[in-house]
Amino acid sequence: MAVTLRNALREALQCGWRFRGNKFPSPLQAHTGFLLPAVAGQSSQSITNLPSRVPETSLSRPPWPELPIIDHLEEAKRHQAVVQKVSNILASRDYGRLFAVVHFASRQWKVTNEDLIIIENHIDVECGERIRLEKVLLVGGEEFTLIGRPLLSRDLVRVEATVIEKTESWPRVHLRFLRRHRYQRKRIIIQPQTVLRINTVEIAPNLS
Amino acid sequence: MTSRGTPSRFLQSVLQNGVGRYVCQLKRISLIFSKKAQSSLGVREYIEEGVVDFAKKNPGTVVYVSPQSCRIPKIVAEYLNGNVREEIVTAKPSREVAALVQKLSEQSGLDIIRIRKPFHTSSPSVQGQWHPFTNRPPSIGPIKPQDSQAQ
Amino acid sequence: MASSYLVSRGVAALGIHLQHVCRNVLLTQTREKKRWMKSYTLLMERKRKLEGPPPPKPRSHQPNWDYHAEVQAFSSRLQENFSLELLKTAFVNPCYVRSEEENRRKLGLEGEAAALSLRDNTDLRGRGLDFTHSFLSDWCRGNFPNLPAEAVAAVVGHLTSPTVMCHVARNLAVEDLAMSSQCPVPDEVLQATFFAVIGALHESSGAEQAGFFLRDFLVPQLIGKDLFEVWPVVNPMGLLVEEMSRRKQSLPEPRLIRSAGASTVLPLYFVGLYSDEKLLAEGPGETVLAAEEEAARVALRKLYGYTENRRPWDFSPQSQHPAPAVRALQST
Repeated sequence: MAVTLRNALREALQCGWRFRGNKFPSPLQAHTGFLLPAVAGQSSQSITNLPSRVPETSLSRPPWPELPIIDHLEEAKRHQAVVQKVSNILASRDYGRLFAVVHFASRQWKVTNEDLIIIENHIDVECGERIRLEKVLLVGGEEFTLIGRPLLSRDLVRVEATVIEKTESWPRVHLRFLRRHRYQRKRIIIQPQTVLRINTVEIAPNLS
Repeated sequence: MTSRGTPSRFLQSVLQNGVGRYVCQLKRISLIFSKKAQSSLGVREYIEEGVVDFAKKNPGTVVYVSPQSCRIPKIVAEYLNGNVREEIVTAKPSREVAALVQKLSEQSGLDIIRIRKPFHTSSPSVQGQWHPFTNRPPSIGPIKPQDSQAQ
Repeated sequence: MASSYLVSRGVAALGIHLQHVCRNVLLTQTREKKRWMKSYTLLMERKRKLEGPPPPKPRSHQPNWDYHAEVQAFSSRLQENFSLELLKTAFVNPCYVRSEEENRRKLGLEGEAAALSLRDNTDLRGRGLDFTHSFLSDWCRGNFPNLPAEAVAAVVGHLTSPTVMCHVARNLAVEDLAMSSQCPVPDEVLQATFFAVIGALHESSGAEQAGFFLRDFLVPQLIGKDLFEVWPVVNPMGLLVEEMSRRKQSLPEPRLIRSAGASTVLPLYFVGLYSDEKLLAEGPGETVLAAEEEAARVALRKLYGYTENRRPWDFSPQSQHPAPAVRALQST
């Protein structure tokens, strides 16, 4: 609201200034002749230093640099180059340790080889068996990162884990107590837990 | 209620179990029960029904069945890392005893205390740790030659 | 108990005539508050405090112990096909044989009768030691071809050191089975027993299987270890210069590239090492010298291929029996 008002005022002032600048050879001039000086006299100070009235501050322009207009051809070329580079790395198996972000047990885990993760429930696997974690959201090496939209394909990444322990959490005491009401409820919560060891994070040699 | 005062540990495993091959961590289990007492009825039933199957299924665990004159039947589990857990099975039905034995054989023998983080990694950063100079262009705050800095 | 003893003495003093009246005076029970109990327990407590904890008993002297079953379970727990004869031999240490023979002689047995017909593990442990050293050095050279000979020796030395070997042996229940003259098995004896177990495996299932055993149980102790934790290098810069001159590259030049908080209690310097105007490595430190040393270590790690983000070691299971779960997943 404030902005619109100020704009309207400025519009009017500018209009007046222009009006004074152009000597209209119109029949109205006689009428406006005595009117104009009043307007012009009022606006003469403000009009002359109009640029300094809105000084340059940190907020006068957005903080990010002005981006050039995206050239789609250039973009495609760059994209092609990046894809080529990553697929070359994958084909030559010239990467070191890989890490992956997997979605498992309704959490996202950043895992790499020889990691341990603990899950707040039992899963239907015997101890010592290998399972494959299939929801892989992201895989990264030292020089590249592949991000799924939202998941990476099953043929591309393979994350395997071994169930090494099915255990229980420590007993958590849950106590509800209201004073002066003879109310006390005690519950001891023991949650089943599963410990997984990540064995491999593998990636297929071709980026399909 | 907070649990800061409770003993805690980090997530770990015995001898990096599961990296190479999986080793069942229960090395010895002894069922101590009485031949007569009412309280060890369930254990006696379990010994009749399930203990042989358990021993066949887990050849890496030595199962000892020792009848003693005792009122409180016990299951003593010894783990590879030297820990010993004693579970009291007074008046428990055989189904529960079987579940308990199965549970003991699946655990690793580490202390059951609060675990501080649900993950453990020995290589925390693959792409390099972040520090305030990461991705900072070298043009910002360049280091001048040593002698001019001294002046 | 004490009160009943007093009663019995009194009864004895009364004479023989009364003895047939209450013959088992010592076993009489009195149904009352056992007032002697408190002093008795306090006395026993004090005695225990003075004597300290009782000496540790070996597991084989405690109830529920079947040696044959334990040895069998040891072999099947590790999923190996030990020949049980060899495995039992591997657990017999020469010190045990010696102390047993001495015990027999003390009991009065002489000459032939005192001798134990037990083979000890001397030759097995020699075989295991040789095999372990050769396998670990081969494994190290195969995984890190650029590592110099001293570093390979240091890594092998770390893995076969008494601390690491005893840690592995204790967590594989070798300590319970090992026969030794002293009760908490000394570290050297335990290490020798573990070497003998490796020798027995080498003997009974061949070099490949024994190699897998070492890879699965000894090599994971290196996970998370830095190269210079295992191989202490005092002067990394000198080593780097030596290494670069051997590879005929120009010598590294240290340059201060970043610094912050020089006048505070937590100064930070980043030193980069350049060779041929290319950045070899950079390292942080609290002083310029420390940063330079750290940078030299980083450069050495890069040269030797032992960086933190190197390719992880191959611990894949043996090809004979792939895990059933993986097979099932592949088929679906």
